[in-house]
Amino acid sequence: MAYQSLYRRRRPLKFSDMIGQDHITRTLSNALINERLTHAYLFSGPRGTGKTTAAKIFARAMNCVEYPTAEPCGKCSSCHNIYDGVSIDVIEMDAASNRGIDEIRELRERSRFASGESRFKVYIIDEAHMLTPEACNAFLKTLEEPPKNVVFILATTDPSKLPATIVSRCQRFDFHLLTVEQIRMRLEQILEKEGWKGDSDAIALISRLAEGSLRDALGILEQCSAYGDESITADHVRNVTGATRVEATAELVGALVNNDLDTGLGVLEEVVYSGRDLNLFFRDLTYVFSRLLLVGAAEEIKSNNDLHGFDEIIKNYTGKIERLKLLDLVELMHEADGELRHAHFPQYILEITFIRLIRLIHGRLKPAEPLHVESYKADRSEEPTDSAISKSVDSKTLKTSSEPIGKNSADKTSAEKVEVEKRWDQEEKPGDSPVDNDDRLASLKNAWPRLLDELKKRQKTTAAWLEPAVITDCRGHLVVLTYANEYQIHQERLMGDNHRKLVESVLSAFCDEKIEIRAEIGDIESKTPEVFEEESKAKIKDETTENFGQEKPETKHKGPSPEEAMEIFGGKIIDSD
Amino acid sequence: MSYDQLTGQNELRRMLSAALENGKLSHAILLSGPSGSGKTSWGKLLSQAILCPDHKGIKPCMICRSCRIFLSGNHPEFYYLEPEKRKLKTKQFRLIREHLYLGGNTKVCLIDQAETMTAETSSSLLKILEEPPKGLTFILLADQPGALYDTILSRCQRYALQPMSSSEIYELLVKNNKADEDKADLLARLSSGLPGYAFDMADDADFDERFREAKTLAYNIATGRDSAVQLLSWAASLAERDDLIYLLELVALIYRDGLMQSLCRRGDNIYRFEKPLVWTETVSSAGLEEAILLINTTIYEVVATNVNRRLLLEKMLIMLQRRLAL
Repeated sequence: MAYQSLYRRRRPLKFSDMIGQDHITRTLSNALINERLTHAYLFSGPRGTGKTTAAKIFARAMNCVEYPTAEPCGKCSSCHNIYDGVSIDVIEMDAASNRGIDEIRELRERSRFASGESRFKVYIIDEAHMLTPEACNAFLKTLEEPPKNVVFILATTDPSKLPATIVSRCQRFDFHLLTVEQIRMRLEQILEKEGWKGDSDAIALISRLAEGSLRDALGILEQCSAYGDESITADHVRNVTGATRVEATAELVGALVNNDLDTGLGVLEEVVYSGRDLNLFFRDLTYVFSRLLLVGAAEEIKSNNDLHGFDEIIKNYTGKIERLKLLDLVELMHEADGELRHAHFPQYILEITFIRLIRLIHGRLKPAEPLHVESYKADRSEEPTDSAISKSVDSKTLKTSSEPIGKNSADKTSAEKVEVEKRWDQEEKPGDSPVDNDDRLASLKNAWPRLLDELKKRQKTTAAWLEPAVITDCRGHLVVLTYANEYQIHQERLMGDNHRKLVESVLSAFCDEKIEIRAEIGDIESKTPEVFEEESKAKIKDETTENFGQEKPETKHKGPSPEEAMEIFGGKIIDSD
Repeated sequence: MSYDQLTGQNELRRMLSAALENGKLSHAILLSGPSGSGKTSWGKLLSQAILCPDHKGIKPCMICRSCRIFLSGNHPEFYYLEPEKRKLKTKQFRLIREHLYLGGNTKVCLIDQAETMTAETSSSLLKILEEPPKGLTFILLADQPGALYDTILSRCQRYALQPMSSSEIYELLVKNNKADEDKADLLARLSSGLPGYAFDMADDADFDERFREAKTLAYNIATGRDSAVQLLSWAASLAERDDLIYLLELVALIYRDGLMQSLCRRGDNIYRFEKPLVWTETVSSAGLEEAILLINTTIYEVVATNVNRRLLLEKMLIMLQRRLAL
């Protein structure tokens, strides 16, 4: 097999070919020209940024016949020998496999002999972070005062693992991850050299997916070119890397904003069953959310149009989700990303995360669709005779959603859905009837502890100001909160803009419509705040965030309780049984 | 495992064949896919094809000397590494390392469950993975590519095995007479896209028994009808079982269907042949979510770490019941 991998074949042979590491290549070139070489260098940086490449070029340049020169000539015998790996004076050592003290001792022995044909004896010690502590210590003396004309170049991805004594003896060079633009430039150069063709979309996508590492980028490019077709397209890249279509991300974000669980789960299923890389999909989503957050924070970001093809989603959904919620959203995604890494059921994790995201944004899920249930039951009862329905359901859920299979039933269900939605809207619309108000009052009172809890998560101070209040009235959009006389300060604070808006937003999310609040001072008829407090704590045990209205008030505790202790000292109940 | 028995994965087949044909196959390849998706079979097939002088794409000729030795399991240039006691150790790799540097012939080193490599093993692999001696190809297999180090990933050409759709698995099962239509449908849904898994379940004579057991367990926990003592005895008996993971997967699956049913009533759950999950009415969806996550973590801990299974299960069952039944 004469074939050599693209990233090896196209390893730069000159400093000027290296991209994105100007701060390093220039320093090294100048050191070469001025003959100011030191005896120990440490190259550190993430994978695929050019550490080993720089070390190889450096070793060639300092042994080149044209020395002092900024670049190796590439023509002399020394350059050739080193390139072919047959030079006896440039030794590339794999420190990860030769990490023990014995190997270092041997290195020390050998470094004492003068160099053979070359000017300098160069040791390139790759993956230096894997040297054992003993080996490092045995190496210290040699590294500080090596024999004449010996140069050590240490390369590592993880300099923090090296002892400080090693690092301080070296000139340290930190390699940076490459920007998308730099990778794109390099890829275009290489395409030209190889005589391959590629769409600019495809190149942009590869540059993004490589995440700053040129080796990753070249690996993907090579794999795409092996795909067989003449020109490399963005679809090839997606197939090779398992990246998801932008549309899938868009659909999911749309479903999230519209509180549409069914569509969202459909998208997830498509993503899972088409064998896409779920981590990558997750990263895309997180990227979109974080970008939405930034756009909200600083308008000028819009002018910077490098949004990696997500421009449209970001344009469409800017301002659709509150900023506070976006923050929580990103945090939740981050948590779930960790879980996904070790997931036994990646699909379930994805689904659950989606459900939680919806709940986070909308406070609760749309209730299950009643008509759908009926059709589901009908579907079941007719099961043995009529498999057509189930088939169509199959194809609808399993195949890509764009496929028009089972169109009839799809139409039917979507019609059903519309109807259901209407109904649902009607139920939830502000009817403005007195009954509605009473219902809301009751449900608000029931859900009060949970709402308080929710508030606490967002802003502890607001919750603290709100805590002594009792809901006393509910008139349409207006919710009246009443404080006892001694809580006047609380009342004043709560009516301040920031706190009021926060409370209103939580209540609005709960009631699914715009709610305003007004705090008053007055007599509280039935319950003292303390009792409420107790109830709330008792309820928090049950961690459901939905089914707000259905909880029944629990019996009151009497006497001193852990809750009182908590009030004084803070903390939470982990296990009360 | 012959070429024809490996069905599906058309995308993968096409990509690998094309790469082999125009000689653009990298010297380091990573095949990833969930366990049971056929990674090992594909890895071996690819190895055989690379070693076979007369391969057509990824299809080895099956009759040349190389193929025959390979199939008998004695190919001298085929190196197979799998974890020893859950981990791939540097020692194992060092044993074959010198052989890999011996010159000349085409060699393949297949590393199964590469995600179990320790940090040292990974690092010691880096150099040879980047610039291997002539003729050597590495094939790494991993369930979760994300669990591998970036430095390893960046050196490999990555190929993902795609899960099959349930309808494909259904057809496979029926075509091979593994199960009647009803059961095939159930298994196809259970297998979460893994044909190997579906076949195992179809071959398992006790499948119905286990499924019933899982249902009982799921039901009992969700309704809180077991006392703490009973839960502990469940844990004790579960901990002894070889098919623990299997059973937990079933329970998780039942809960997941319950979740789907209580939230959106999608028609695609396994209970098309059973009565709907009545108990989901009493269980909150948030509880079910946590239950699934909990089972997920437990399975991970059982598989990846060396903990006392019984304690782990006791904890899980008690937590589950508290989440679901209270």
